[in-house]
Amino acid sequence: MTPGMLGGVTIVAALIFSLLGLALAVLAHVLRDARYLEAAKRLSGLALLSALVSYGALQWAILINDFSVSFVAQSSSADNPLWVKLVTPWSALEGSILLWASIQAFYGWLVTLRVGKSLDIWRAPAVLGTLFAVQVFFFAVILFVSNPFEVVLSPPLDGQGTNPLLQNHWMMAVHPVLMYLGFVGLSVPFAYAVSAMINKRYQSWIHETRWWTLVTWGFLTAGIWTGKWWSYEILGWGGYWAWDPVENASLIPWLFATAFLHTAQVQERKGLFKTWNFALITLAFAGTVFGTFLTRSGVIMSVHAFASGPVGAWFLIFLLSVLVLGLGLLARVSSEIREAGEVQWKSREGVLLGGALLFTTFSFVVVIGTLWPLVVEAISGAEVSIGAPFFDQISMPFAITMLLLMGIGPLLPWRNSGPQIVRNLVIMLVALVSATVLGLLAGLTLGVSFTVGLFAYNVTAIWLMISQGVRERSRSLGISAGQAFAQLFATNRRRFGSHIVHFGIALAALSIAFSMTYRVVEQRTLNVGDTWNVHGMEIRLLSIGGRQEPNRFVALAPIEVRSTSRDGWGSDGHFQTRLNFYPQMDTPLATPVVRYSLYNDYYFVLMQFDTENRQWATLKIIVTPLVLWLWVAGFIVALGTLYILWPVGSRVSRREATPVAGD
Amino acid sequence: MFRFWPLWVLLLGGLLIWGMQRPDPKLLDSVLVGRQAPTFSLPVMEPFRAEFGPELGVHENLDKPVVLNIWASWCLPCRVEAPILERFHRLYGDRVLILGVNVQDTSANALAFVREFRLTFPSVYDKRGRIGIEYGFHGVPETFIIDRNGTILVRHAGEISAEQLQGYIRRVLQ
Repeated sequence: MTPGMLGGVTIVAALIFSLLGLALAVLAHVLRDARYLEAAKRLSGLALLSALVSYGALQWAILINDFSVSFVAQSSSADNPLWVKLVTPWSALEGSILLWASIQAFYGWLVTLRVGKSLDIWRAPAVLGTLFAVQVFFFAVILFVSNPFEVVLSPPLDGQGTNPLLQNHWMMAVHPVLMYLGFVGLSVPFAYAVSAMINKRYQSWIHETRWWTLVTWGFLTAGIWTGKWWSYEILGWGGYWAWDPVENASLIPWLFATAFLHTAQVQERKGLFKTWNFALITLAFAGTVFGTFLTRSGVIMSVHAFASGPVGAWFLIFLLSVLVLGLGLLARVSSEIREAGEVQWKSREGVLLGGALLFTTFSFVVVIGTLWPLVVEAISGAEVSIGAPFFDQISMPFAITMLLLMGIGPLLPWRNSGPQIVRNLVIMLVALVSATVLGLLAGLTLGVSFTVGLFAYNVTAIWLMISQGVRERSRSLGISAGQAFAQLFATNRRRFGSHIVHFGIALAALSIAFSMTYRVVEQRTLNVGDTWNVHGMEIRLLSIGGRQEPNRFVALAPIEVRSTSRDGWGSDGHFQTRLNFYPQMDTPLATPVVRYSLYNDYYFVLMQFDTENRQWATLKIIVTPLVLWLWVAGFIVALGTLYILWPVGSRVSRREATPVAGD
Repeated sequence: MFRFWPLWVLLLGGLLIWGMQRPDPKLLDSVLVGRQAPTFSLPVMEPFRAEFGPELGVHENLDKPVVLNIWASWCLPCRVEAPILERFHRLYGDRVLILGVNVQDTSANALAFVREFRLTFPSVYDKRGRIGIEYGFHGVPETFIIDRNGTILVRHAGEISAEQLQGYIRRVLQ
């Protein structure tokens, strides 16, 4: 059997298993018969197995250079190194949808493991049914419109090659997979919400859904962060976020999911915000489909766009179905949902609601900003583009309010605030003001100084919360402060994890403010042997050379850098600036060399060189302060999320179940 | 606001459907249709030099209809088209000039392509993308049908089938 045949057959099998699973889940729901549910669970395993075999077949075809498989002929090349071949499946449309469907099947199977445990058999059929329906959609898209296993009748000797931009950096192996894990994962919370609305159980779904959402939120955050890092390392402009429509599309579900993570806590503890939570989860999942639609429909131009095709229409139908199902169910049940009380603004739930409103408003702003060019074209026929300046400006007040709320929120008690909170607020405001003033005195701009102030304000808030908890515990149990801290840290994962995440976000804000305000870009053409004194550095161009690699030709211009003043601290060393020439591309791809340091990042790009006599080269340098801390912040956020999610032993979890002071 | 959710969904759907309906540049009619074909002369690929001379192109005193096919060795639909074009060249070669223009390619790959399909109709190299500018093609493959008087009759973007090519050739030979 050839890989193409195996792949084709298993796609059909996966579609049939998913359809049968959907039918059985519907029967289990209507007849309330657990035997159908059992059968549906087995089918989920079979669908996963078929999807994995199909994915394996595609990988196999790529590895053995089987150019009779359309995807391999279009998107691979015999000369590609092994790691490029391993990531080729998600470098183009058809393979990426197959990966997507496989991950979908994997999540579906994971959910079946919860049936009978945390997912009771009354809610399970609708959850599995929704997931099977999503799965049916993806396998049908693969089979009918975007099949990677089409047969090429006269196979070429070599494939067209993989998109050079995607084989220029190892991050290709990481960022898309994390994105897909995050995007696809949001289908699980959506399925739980649909089931809760169908079965009219408005409270029991929230605990486990929050857990699932946190898992996918973690992946989504890691995906967005690695995307920033990738674009920083590779695109040669020294930035990490361009407000490209597809970057926005990844931000939209992230914002909705973030809002949900906060309001879900209120529902768990107080039974409030039920309607909100259903709406937020529906919008978060619809946001992922919207993003996928944008990248694959050709509606909006973007660096991320896959080649467009008939897939767009399918994704649009899917998007509208998700919105109609989620919002339609919510409209039907919203009159029945009873909130367990009123919200007081001066309480933690009040601040959490404020945060949710903020995140939701900002997501809609991003949606409107992304679609605005289309709206204008539809109404007036004019073509406009909305770029970074608009989004930078609009996101500023949002970010400031978010940082302010992030500090107060966790500090406020549930229900209503007491007098001790006033003291804490005064301390935090003193930190905010004094750090801002110190920043101004040090000659920083107002915006950066204020961000420093907000960072200090948030760190103070976290410190106040931890220190007060530790003091109470050590006093009441008669143990040392160190012991009290260790106990709180081990037993109070949710709280400490969220402190870690919030600290990471505050640090990221600080890094973004510095790196965006004080970036320096310089460019100069140098003869071999010349030196260039710029921004505290002495740069010498050593030589110009080249070498042939299997899948590309590389032009190299080694440079030597010495720091001469404080501006150039940490830049010393030898660097190989390079341009990669891919046979599939007319223009070469610059691969920046980045010298990371705790203070400045130094970014060297070979722009152009003398191809005939190898006498001169044009170099660009970008110096960005404190940008390294953005990656550190991302790592801290991921760590905090992991800490909350890390499975706890039974001993600890029992302790966690009892409320702890300050929580 | 929430009460009107179906309206919002409809508006979003309508906008996106409209967005997808906007014409694909591939499907736009060329402004050149019905006008005089731009003339050019480009270096002939090595295997055809003995028969067709060092340079070949579209010019006024050709006195023959031309099927101008723009191709590249890396393009999959071109691989489907190549045997079809070859067949029509053998059938109508004396009455119609089937002329390939190799674009965005390396000479070695282009020559391998010609050898693989045993092509006998001539192709020229367009290293500097002249055709791209003058004929305004969007991608490969693309085929222009030019009548005996040098007027462009059809611009066909994408893969061409044997039936379509038969129809076009019948039109120019009438």
